[in-house]
Amino acid sequence: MVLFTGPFFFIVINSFKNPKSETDHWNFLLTETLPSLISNTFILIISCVLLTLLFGFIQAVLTTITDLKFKKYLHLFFIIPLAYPLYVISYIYVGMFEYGGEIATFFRESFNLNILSLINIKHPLSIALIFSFVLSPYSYLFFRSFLIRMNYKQIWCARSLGKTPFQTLLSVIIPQAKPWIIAVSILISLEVLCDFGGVSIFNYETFTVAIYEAWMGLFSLNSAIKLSLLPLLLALIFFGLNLLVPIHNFKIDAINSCILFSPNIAQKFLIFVSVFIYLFFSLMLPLGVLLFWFSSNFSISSLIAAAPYLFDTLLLGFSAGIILSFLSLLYLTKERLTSAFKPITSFLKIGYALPGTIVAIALMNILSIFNLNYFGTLAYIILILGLTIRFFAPVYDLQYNSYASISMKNDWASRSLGASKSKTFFQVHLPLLRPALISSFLLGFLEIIKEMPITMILRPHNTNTLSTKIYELTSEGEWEQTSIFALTLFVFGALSLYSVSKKEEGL
Amino acid sequence: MKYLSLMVLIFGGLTCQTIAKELVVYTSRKEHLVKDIFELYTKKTGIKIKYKTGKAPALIQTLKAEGSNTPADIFMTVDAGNLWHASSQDLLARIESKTLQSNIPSHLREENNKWFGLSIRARTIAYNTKKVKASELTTYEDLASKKWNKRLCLRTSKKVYNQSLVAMLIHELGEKKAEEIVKGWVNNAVDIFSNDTAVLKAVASGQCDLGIVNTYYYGRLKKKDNSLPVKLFWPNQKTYGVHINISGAGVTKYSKNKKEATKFLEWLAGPEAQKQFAQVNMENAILDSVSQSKEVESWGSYKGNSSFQLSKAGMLQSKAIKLMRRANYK
Repeated sequence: MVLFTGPFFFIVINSFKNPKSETDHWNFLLTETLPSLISNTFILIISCVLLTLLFGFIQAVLTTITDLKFKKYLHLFFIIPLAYPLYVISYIYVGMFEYGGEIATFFRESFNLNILSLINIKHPLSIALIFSFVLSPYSYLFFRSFLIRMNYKQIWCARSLGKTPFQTLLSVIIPQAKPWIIAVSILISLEVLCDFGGVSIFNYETFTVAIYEAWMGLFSLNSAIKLSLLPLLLALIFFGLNLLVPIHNFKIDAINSCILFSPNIAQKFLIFVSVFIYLFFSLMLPLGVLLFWFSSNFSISSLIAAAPYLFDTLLLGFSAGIILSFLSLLYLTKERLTSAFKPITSFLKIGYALPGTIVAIALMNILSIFNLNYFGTLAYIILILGLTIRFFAPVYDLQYNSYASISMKNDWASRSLGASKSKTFFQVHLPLLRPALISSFLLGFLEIIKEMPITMILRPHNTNTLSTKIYELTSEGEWEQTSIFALTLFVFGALSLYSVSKKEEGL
Repeated sequence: MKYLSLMVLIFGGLTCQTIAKELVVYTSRKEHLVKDIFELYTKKTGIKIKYKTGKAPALIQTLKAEGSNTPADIFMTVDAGNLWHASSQDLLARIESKTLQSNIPSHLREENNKWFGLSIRARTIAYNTKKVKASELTTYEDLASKKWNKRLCLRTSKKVYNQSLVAMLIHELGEKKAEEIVKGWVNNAVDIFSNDTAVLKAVASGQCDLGIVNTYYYGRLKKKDNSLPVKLFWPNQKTYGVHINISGAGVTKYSKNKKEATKFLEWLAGPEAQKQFAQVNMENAILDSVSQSKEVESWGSYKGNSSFQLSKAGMLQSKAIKLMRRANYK
């Protein structure tokens, strides 16, 4: 608990300090940088939220309440882009659409067309669109969960009262989706707020970029901490909102399927074309680019060279993923037994709102009190701790949904038959939670293998993951050279998403 | 006999332990640039080199957090600004070594011998040979003139290489003049990129006519495609010279193996290691006697700015960042 909330308190306490040597730097940031930072960050957040809400909601409608074939496969295709880390999809698009990039060159040489006059890849809206390709799966999964759980009787009532499917969507479904809309907006906002790798490739200044500049350029750790305070406050507001509009209280309707839209052949064709265009840009084009770069740089030695990075990545993903799932289960069980525990666990989710760099710096500084040596096994433990702090929230939320759906009646029945609390847990809860535990482990695994700043700063000397290697190469502009590492990361990310999907959809 | 075997084992073990000493290096240099040279040292001396790579400020933060308990013996990084920062945080030890002092010119090492340059890189002008003649180019200052309007490509101001370059301009020309120049660059810029390779590709493809880059990025790109219509130009040859920076290293304050660490640095500054250390990244060696790689030689010789003591790059870095911000250089 102390370690989990350590980075939060580290920021709060240190932000009140005013070292004389750093006052100038802070004043400068306050007057020269902060106004543009605030506007840049909010423009990007709002654009990303709107786009992901739109994409995610439409996708969820298509795979739940629309009469379409191959919905299971559509579901898989909609979630797979989540396997791209934001920084990977960012450099793919920048690499291709810059003036000297392959796509821009192709259009210039083949059609004498300068596509840069049509598309500015570094415009905030372009960045938001590219980010939303990777972030939409979050929104899609939320809305899908809502549409599966919603009360279909109301839809029937609306339809029997003469409302068209579209009117029903607008007047019945969307108003009910408000808690989900808020939850998705919070999640996407935090993802955008904490991203550094993606925005820095576009040279777009948000809070995380400024935090980096304060720390790495001005050598002012205090200013970097003060800058992190604002995203942190925002995150607290977001979490407060999340507590006010709980989405978990929804019960699954007894009737668990309903078809609202039955498109005709022409409409189905239109849907197919739209989905294809979306999947082309969100999934196929980035994958094609990586494969193209991979084939241009392919050698057996490059494959062999990637093996140790893959091993370190998998080891870290597995170990931290298991610890994350276990800790989350531990807190959830405690929460079930003592309801007063819930606000505490909610507070533990704060790590998700902190940029990875800040979590790493805070941990290092907190642990420096104990005068530790970070070079051995301890460094690995600290790295796992950092990742656990950062990704506790999504893993916990996923398990929470499943735990909440286990009726208390099961507990009462088990206890009345003489079973102890622990026996009830092992013989009733655990078997029912197994699918959620596997899914939450896979989600944690995916987040950890994609994570870059914490791993970069806290990893022990002999641990080099795919993400740290990608960072090393992208910082030098060697985008093509990253393809083997980025492809490996994508394949393992996609495999874990496929496994989650298989568990849920029986694919 | 049994006791004798035991003694042999114990003493044998002890002897092995004495020989198989190890040094720990925290380095922001990329793994592939240091791995071979570390292995070469191990081959020659039996001293194993363990290393941790990362961004310089993160490694500095680790050194600070570890304090006297740090396992690091050497801090190695690129850009004098980072070395200056480590030294200003009192993380590096003062090293008295005649070899280091005689091999490394004074402007490429710290005044108190807390860090030493080990290779030189120039930040210079790259131009598209189809669009610009070398005779049109003169100085960094000239890139701010109107004749280069919408013809210049720049790397982001967030990169320490540009911060050091602007720090050098502040030192040579004063803050006011330096700000005018940077403003001129920004006005002339077609685009600002996240890395030097992207700047060079933009120059090669004709998006802009010229850019400011570190030489080894040019070397890497040329190695891949020799037909690129891009060449390097050495500016300010009649004045202070091309802006140069270093990759360098220092012995950490709390190193338990200062003697061995100093010996390692001396070896790195010596002729045998210098050739490999500089050539692996197409940089210039610190020692004049060491021959450059063919690629580096083909770029021609230049006068580097030796009047700019590189510690100043660190001292002036925050001033440079603020100046670039005022000039709207993103």
